[in-house]
Amino acid sequence: MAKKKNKLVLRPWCWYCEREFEDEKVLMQHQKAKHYKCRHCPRKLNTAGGLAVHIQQVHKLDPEKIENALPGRDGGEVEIFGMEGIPKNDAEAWKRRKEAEAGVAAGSTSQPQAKRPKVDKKPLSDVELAAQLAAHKALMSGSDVPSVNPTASGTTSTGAPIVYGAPQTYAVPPAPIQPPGPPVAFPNGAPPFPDGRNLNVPLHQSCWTSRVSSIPSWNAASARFSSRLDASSWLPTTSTGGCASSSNQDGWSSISGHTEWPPRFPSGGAAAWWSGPTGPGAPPHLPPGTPGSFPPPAALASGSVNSNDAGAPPNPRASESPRKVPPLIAPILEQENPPIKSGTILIWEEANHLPAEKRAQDLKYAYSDVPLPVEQSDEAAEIVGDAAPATQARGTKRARAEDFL
Amino acid sequence: MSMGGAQDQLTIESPPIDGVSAVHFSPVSSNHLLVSSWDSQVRLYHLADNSLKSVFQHRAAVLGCAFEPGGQYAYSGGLDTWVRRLDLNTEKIRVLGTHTAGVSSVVHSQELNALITGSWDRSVKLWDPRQGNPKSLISSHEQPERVYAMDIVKNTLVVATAGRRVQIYDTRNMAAPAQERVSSLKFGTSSLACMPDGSGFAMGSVEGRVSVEFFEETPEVQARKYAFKCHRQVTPEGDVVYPVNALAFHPIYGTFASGGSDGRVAVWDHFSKKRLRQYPAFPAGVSALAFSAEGTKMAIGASYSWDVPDQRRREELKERGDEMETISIVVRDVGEETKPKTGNA
Repeated sequence: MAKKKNKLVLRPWCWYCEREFEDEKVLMQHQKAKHYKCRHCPRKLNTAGGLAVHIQQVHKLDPEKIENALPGRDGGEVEIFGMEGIPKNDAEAWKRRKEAEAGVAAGSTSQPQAKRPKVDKKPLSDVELAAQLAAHKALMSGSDVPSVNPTASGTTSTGAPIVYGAPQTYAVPPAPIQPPGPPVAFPNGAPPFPDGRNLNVPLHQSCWTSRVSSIPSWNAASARFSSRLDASSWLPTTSTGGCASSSNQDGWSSISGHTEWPPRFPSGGAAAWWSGPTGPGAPPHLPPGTPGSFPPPAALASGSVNSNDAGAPPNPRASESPRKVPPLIAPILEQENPPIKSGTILIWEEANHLPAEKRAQDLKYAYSDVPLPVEQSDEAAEIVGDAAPATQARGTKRARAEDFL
Repeated sequence: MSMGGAQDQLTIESPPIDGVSAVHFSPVSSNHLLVSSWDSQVRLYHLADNSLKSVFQHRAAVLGCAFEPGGQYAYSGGLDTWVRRLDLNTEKIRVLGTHTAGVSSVVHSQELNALITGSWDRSVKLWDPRQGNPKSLISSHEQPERVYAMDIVKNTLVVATAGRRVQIYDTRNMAAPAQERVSSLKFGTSSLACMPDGSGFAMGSVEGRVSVEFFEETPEVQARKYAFKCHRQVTPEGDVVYPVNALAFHPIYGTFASGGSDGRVAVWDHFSKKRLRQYPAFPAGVSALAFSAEGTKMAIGASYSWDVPDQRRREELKERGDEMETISIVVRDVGEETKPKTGNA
């Protein structure tokens, strides 16, 4: 069940006949020609409403059904103009269908993507190269990154939300000039690792909003982004520019070290951790630089992007914490399934974990930690609870969308 | 859809895009259905016009949700460990607090006017939803193992955990469980529901079996407890045994429905120990079930629960026509078929 890379572009489509088009202009031409054409004269109108009024006023006839439309969509009640006005339900159903067809993880295309951090592609000067090498060496030696993770229990003594030591890894000496966050770890233009840019949560915020409330802009944005989503631009440069000095056999881990991925590995469980997205039985150690083996970046983004949480990340550092999957919690009261009758096939054979716990290990369900919003006083409570800006913005947008429909 | 055009059945038009973890009817209107999903959203559907009323975006997959009795607020918990109050009118979210691992179950106690959450961090927490973090936390109660399922009826809270443990609390005295039991089922607990009359509960396991147990500890009452097999399919290679993912009691008749990964929903009369009804199989396993407050409707969330770890087996299922990628929510009108047969009780 290898997932395809995030190649899915949601193209403009016609609500009446579910045809896809290269761009919205063509779609509008199509709608004019196929659906908004007057049967009684050569006139073409711009909308269903326009056509109805035209037929009524010019030809003095009763409103007719929209021509060439799918059953159920041939009425004039829905005002469609290009991609505008498509009922929410249908838009969503369409997207799901497209995702299913493309074999992309559900929900993965819903987000207009984060802007890719600007990278300077000019060749590195010797000085810069040396600086990067030094930074890299420091990184590799200075912090034993994978071990930063806390143990499997996933609890902290303070009772604070689990923060798998992730922020600390950013404090490592080599990149003090940089703000924390993987995508900018290499000042001199080694392009970020495929999914590095997705760790940049704030840029994703309100993705859902725009999806729900303004289909056209969402579409345009996703189309814009997907053109950028070119595998070829991802890996090679990273590994040559960033990891040239690493002669580690297991190239994978050297890349990891570089791009500060390891915080997302549950300690000691990298292999198990990987078996999720690639399906059981797949080799746990993937060759480095196999973009196809990663879920599409957007899949990572979907799901934990939060435009609606009260007390959204108060500072950029927190919001840039990488997505991760908390480790599987080990059983205390260990169980063993009793022998089952021969001839019976047990679907779930694990005695110590439920399917949901194993499922939660899939990279698809990784999320980034942000500090829990604290409400200091009752007044503050009101502010945090009721006036989180993201929430507000989303709320009003949605209302508008609904008015519009 | 493969279910024929039954008129008494409504298929939600824009279902979640990943697994359905819980469905709940509003206690005040059987027209409102709350759905939590692995796609990180909690959705509120309006059933009369089959529309999506509001969407609450979470940071990670949502594993459980609950209404408060007034129907204005809902609560949610999931992988991101946060406990949230969702204002269904204004679509605002208040974060009540956090567990240290995924929140697996969320219930609301009308008697305490409190929210109760159970988590894989081996704790049950009580929250005052009128307060924000950190004032909201009322108390935390350590559990012997990860909390898998919880349900509440009046003042009785039942907490089913890993390690096949069951803790029964009187919510007026949460200091210690009133009873601690070991599940009579030999396999892991996957679902739990309390009888609406407060006399007992039903519990499902990953090995296609449901037990019916009673709270009262007298030997006569305890003698009535029993378990039965369900959600199994006879195939040429043998009996395939599916997990029981969801249980829900009918609020009026006291019968209950079970949903399994075999995609089937069955209604059971535990008084007469009979199956009253089995509905046609859903294209994917049933992952959530709920009855409406008046017991006139049943909501069924059907989605693959990631419980077929064997790739080969998955292929087989697909060949047999199981559409594991399908996610659907169906609301059925229910009536006489959920009523216990009189004279047998």
